[in-house]
Amino acid sequence: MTYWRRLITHAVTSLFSSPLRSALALLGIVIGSAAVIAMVNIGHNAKQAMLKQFEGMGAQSTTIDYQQGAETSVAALLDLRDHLYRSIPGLEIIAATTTGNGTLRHRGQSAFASVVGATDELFAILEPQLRAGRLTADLDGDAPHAVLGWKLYQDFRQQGIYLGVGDIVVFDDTPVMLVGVLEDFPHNSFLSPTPINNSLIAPLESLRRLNQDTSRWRLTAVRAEGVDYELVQEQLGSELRRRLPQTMVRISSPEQLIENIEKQTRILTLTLGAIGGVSLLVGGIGVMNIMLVSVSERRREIGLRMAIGARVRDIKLQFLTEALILCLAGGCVGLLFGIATAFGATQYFGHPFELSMASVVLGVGVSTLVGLFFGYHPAVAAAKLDPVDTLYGD
Amino acid sequence: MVLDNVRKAYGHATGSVEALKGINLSIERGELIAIVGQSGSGKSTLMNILGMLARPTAGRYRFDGRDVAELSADQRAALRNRSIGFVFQSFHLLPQMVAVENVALPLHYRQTSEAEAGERARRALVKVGLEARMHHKPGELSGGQQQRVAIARAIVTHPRVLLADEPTGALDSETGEEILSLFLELNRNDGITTIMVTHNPEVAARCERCLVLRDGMLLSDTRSFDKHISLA
Ligand SMILES: Nc1ncnc2c1ncn2[C@@H]1O[C@H](COP(=O)(O)OP(=O)(O)OP(=O)(O)O)[C@@H](O)[C@H]1O
Ligand SMILES: [Mg+2]
Repeated sequence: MTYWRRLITHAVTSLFSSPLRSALALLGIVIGSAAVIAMVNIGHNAKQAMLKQFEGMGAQSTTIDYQQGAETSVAALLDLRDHLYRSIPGLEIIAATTTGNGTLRHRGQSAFASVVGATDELFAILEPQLRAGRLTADLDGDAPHAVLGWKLYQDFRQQGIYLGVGDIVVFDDTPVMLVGVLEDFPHNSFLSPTPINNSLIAPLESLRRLNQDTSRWRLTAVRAEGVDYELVQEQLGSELRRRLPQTMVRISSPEQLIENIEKQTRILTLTLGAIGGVSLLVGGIGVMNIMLVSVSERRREIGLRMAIGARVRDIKLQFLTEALILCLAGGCVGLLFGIATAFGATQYFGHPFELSMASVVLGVGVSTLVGLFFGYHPAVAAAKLDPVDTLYGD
Repeated sequence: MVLDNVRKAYGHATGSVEALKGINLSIERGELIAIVGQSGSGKSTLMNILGMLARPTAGRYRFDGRDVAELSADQRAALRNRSIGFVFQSFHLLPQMVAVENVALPLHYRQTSEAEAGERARRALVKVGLEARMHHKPGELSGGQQQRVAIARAIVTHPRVLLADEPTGALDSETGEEILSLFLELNRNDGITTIMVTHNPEVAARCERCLVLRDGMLLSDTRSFDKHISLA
């Protein structure tokens, strides 16, 4: 124990006795380590920020989008939906939708609005809260009935128009009767095809009467608990290839998106980390260089230590310890700088900062390895010296 | 310490130089020996072999009955640490450490506790008369004081042999005289075998035994006891 403590105090004393040289060696490691820590943390926080956007949104859902000629009917879509219900038991709810845009007018006021033609299942998935009236239903058939989104309601209210159940509004020249008004509903791009607050929701079959282009269809499916999205996507793929052979079908799940983000940020983190690693490597070469200079300048000390009883391993350990202390000290200072840099970057991008523990372990661990690796050669060079040469040479 | 036909050759680009050409020598415990000879006669080489810093090219060297050639490098290091103290012409103190740390350095290589090492280093410094300069760095000490620190470092392990290669070579005659007295005292009071290389005949005259080297060979080996006889 005494031996190690003294080894460390001697190393620190030696390092402090040539402060400029030690500081220069330290600088390379500080920069390298700061780069690794900063890069890995920035990558980590970028990923966290991206993932947060999708967190909890439409977990367990899978979306199927395709476009077909105008002649296709709602009946064909519903037929496809029923087929999927039967052939893929992992799907619990499938909502069929199509969307359009237009201008909503009432008593001289107007607002731009989206319209969603949806089957009852959409409401089962979204579970929106009603402010007044009722939701539309499949039983409405192609009747021009609609539920009004919260934002549209607010827009008209600001003009002094209180829209309510029973009001006949005009959507793109077609009269539509409001059967309900919704509460505020946060947008969820995975589950609802348009922002609900800015939309009218109408029965699927009624969209043709509203003169909408009904060639783009979407099925939003919710999988049963524990059903893997990849399996469902595969099953959907093969079913849809059979049912819609000539059609481009896009199948997507939020998990897939999240996985893509993770893959991309992993590449980002690795790239950034590698840049830091290269800086650390350069720092390590600097340490080796300076340790070699130190060994050749302290030949007499080495010879003297050998004369008074230092073994080969004592000399090796001494110089290895000095290199290691340099690298560890550099690594720790770099750690602080790196965290500060990453913190600054997340503030700049407006993300919350979360420290990546892996980066701390990585930074300190890699600095240690660099110290051992680049300190080894100078240490061996020191231990190889012949004491007679060093003590009698000038 | 017994040297049996010891030779030492140094390899050069132009061939090899034989610094020692067959030295036979036996040194008893507690002796005080001076080695003299012209420059290049092999004095330092002999000291290095005695101190196990260099190995003979041929011949045998026994230290305390053990053949040094059969010892491993670590064993030789341990033996140096325990049994031999070195003093050099140019002191070889570590500039970054204060006197007491320099003196304690050999104890680092033999697992002595911090407190004990400090205490022993202090006592060694008291012995060489430097208690007032314990916490000075070598750069703040005179040549004579630095050599005293070096002597304290050599005796801190209570060695049996003290090897001093021109210990007064870098000092003025007065200071050299003080250092010499210190060696004589250590030899007399503590019974440390002391072997000293010197160019000064007066110094040599004060030693009991004097070895004269010339061209790597032992020219003469006289004891003051013999001198008395020849004088009579
Ligand atoms: N490391 C070495 N490499 C090659 N030759 C050496 C080496 N050390 C000593 N020699 C040679 O060995 C011979 C004896 O050298 P040594 O240093 O033992 O002499 P010395 O008696 O100590 O001389 P001085 O009084 O000048 O110190 C010299 O010829 C010297 O050139
Ligand atoms: Mg010499």
